[in-house]
Amino acid sequence: MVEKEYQIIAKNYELAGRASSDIKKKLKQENIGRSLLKRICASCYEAEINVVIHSVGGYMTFSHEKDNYIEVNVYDDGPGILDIDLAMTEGYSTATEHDHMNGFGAGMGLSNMKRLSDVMEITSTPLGTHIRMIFIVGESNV
Amino acid sequence: MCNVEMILNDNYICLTNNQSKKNQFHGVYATDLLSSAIKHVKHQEALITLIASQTTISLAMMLDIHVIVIVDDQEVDQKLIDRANKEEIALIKTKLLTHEVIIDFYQRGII
Repeated sequence: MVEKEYQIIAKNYELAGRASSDIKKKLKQENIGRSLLKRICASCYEAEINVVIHSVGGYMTFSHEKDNYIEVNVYDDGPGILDIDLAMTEGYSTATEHDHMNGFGAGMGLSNMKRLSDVMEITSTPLGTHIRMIFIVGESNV
Repeated sequence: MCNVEMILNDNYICLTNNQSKKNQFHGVYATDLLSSAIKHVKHQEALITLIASQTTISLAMMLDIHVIVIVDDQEVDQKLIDRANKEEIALIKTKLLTHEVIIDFYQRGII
């Protein structure tokens, strides 16, 4: 079992992607297939960007149960997602102009993460949000 | 399959090192919404975008994009170029707009 934890700093676009990049390096060393690698990395990057844009900071954990599945958990501190169904709607966003200048905030992040992961669960309160994503490591993903 | 050297002319400047000019691509995807690139970009495609930000390089790293064309004469800072060099990603800058790049590439048989 491989486990790692990464801090994510709010509003810092320069450091966004550090966690996803490290996860990618680790998975490459384990010869994970290109398609699965892309799904995991893209989901992790979207999750990191969401924390950067919408929260006051958070962290991501990554665990790899060999030959079975990869689990990514993302936790952030406030303000939470008021309406999860609405937030999952492609195109809905509360991002700012600054976020748009950095190429994000189009309201596609959560829907991309849902589409790219095998399982995604969101729990959110005004104190923060927790997103759990599971990626099945199977023959179709080699 | 095309490489960066095939793109370069008076309209396109390669900002990264000579080694990056050998980077190859097959087809292009154009967007200024990076989540849209996450959704749609295909293996080995080059990215055409207005967004000259660290997020563009991070995205390219995640999706294995080896060639990025920054359009509309956007300012590209040295930190971005340095990071692209480190990650072996070719950064091309042009004054052309996105649709003009696509028309140009098509007319030159690049796509």
